[in-house]
Amino acid sequence: MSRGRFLTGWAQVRLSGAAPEAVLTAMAERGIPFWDATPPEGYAMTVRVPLRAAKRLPDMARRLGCEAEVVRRRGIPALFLAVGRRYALLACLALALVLVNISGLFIWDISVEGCDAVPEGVIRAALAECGVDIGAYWPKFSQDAIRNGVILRVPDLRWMTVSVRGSHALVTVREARKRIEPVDESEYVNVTAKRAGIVDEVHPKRGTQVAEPGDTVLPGDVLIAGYSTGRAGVQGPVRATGPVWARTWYELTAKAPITQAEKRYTGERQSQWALVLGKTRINFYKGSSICPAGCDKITYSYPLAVKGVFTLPLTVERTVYAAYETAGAPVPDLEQALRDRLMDGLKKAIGADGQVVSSRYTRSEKDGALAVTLHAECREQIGRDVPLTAEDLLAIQSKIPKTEEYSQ
Amino acid sequence: MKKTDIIQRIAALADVQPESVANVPRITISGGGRVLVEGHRGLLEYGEDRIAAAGPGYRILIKGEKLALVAMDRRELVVSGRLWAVELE
Repeated sequence: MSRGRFLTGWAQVRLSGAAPEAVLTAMAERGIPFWDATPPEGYAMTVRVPLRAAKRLPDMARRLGCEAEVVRRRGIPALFLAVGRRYALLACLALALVLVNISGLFIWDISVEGCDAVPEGVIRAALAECGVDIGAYWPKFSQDAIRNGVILRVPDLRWMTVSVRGSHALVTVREARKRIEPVDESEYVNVTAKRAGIVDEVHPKRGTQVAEPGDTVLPGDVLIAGYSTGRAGVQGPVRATGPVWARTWYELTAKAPITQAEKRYTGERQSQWALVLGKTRINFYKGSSICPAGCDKITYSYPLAVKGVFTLPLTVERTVYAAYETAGAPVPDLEQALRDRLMDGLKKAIGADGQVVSSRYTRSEKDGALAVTLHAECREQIGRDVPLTAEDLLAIQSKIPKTEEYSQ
Repeated sequence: MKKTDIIQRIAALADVQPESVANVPRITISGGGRVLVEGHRGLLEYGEDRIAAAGPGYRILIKGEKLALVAMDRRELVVSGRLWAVELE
């Protein structure tokens, strides 16, 4: 059925008599459109006509020795006809329409998107302080004032906007990028080993190379010393820089119980209903809503809203308590999960530019736990900046030849 | 001789389509499932397997299966369904 017919309304008419087809002919002659004419069965047939034409049919049919009876009315005019003189119903309908329109001027639902590092709760609290809260009158919102207020309260945000659609406020935020701290070039540092290994390559950009390829180094050993040297010997302290590549070995172990407690629902369920009006909650149950032990609490919310059109401050909440028992069950793919976890940990340890040269795993079971050990050889940068101590600086100063000695 | 017949003869002599000058029916069959009858003179019979419309001095009989009257006004009627035959009686 087309929308046009629904708007103008239509009626289904039952034509009965010796020749109901004659009524169709008469309707055609009088310009009354009709559709969905069913073939006659037992001297009766049905046909659909516009609602405004349905009144004329009984007289027309009578003149042709037939009867016409309206069996169904549909469409908006039919709805009004059905309501008729039920003024209370009409008043309720009008009141509901007015309430829907008025409630559309207030915020009944807020969602925040675009936040990653900043917790959503922090943004919501800042929004509430700036007037964007449940029940707020949104035509009074000032985008600039809200933006400035929220960014002032949450400095980790770079930009934000509030768009309102049908009582739903969508808050879109962009977080500020973390600033890269500049390197303090005036600080004197040594490049030292952060872990043990065999030095593979040393490329000092500044400072004096101490470690040579093939050297075995321990954590804390100086690889590039924080002083410069020239033909005359030590010239002075500097900030030593440069990559130092080394072969390193790792032995990482991860353990986990072979079995885990698994939930099995007993089938016992209990529901609690509540009505949320704006910020007010009306519980239709006695006692508290604290979940007892051995139960899962699942809350379903049914807001009275049409998404993107309107939202009313009315939400029906159903809380289901589902009882469960726990029983031991083997953990599926445990060994693979431990291996993946170890490899992830290794890659994190060697950094993005590190490489895993070779690796192997060993496993053992003891006291109901599975232990997986990763043995790996890697190639990574092991240099770490360590500021020179006062003693280091004094030692360097003592090594600098005096000007007079040099001139002699 | 009827007035319609005279007009049809004149139209034939003038090499003009008769339905354009006289009120004679024109029947158009589209595929095997739709018939348009222009210039009918009323519905005489309506059933799932046969629909009859009045023409000038004869009946236009449409035979088929699951026939349905899709639309109708004072000049035209459209029938849809599985067509077997269109006969003039």
